[in-house]
Amino acid sequence: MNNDNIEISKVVSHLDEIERAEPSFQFLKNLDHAIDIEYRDTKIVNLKWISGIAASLLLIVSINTYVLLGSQDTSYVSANDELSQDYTLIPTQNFYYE
Amino acid sequence: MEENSPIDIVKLKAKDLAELKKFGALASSWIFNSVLHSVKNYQDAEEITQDSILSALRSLDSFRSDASLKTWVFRISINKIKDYYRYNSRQKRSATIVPLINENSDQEEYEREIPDHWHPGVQLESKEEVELLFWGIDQLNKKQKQALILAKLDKLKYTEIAEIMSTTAKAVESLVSRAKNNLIHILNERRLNL
Repeated sequence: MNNDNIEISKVVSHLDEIERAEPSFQFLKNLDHAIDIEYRDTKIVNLKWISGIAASLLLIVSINTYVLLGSQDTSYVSANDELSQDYTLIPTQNFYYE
Repeated sequence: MEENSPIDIVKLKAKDLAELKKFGALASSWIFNSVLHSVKNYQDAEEITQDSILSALRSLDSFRSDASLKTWVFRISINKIKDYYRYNSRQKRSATIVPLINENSDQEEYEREIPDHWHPGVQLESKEEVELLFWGIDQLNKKQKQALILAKLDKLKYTEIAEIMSTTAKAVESLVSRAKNNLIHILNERRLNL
């Protein structure tokens, strides 16, 4: 019994000797590939979203600018018109005041 | 807080591809060993490891930056191992039912193979002793087995294990000590019965 105990203790002592198992090179390669697929695609989707939003914003800004510039057509606004006071950026405004 | 972690959490959360890959390689070296010890099948261990890492990456937003990345990944892998066992026990149940319905069905088609235990430790000179040791570890209760694997085979600190197992370092120390005593007892019993 005592001898058995000594032997068993020896067996249990192997706990500290067992080397850690490391993942294989092929596994790491596959994992790399899986991450690549999952996140490179996400990046492309994100880029598509970003470019889509940017294009929409550009369109809205262009339309706004067009509308704004159109409404600032000075040929229809008199120098005394109250509205013209708001459009301080109208280059011709000073001309009228002068 | 992550001690000396080579991983940049900010870059990781920003889904920087290089950082994600760096994390993948590091995390797999952290968890692979304990996953292999738990499932005792190399291919299944690889699958669970990859699944755990991809799950961790997908839920990065829920990771608190002040926590330890290592213990967080370990927790995820433990949940995946539990899922694996749940799936296997369901498979085993259906394996006993289906052949009863269809007498001509091939038993092998339904029964999942008993996993082959492969581990670098078994390659040691004392192969038989190490195999006996693994058998003994398997007879321990879940908590003791987990604590022993993480402490002795994964060489984690008691504080890290405590975080993974949601307990205190002292409780882990006591669990490991009891696990070792029980292991000696289990192995002695086996010797006597042989």
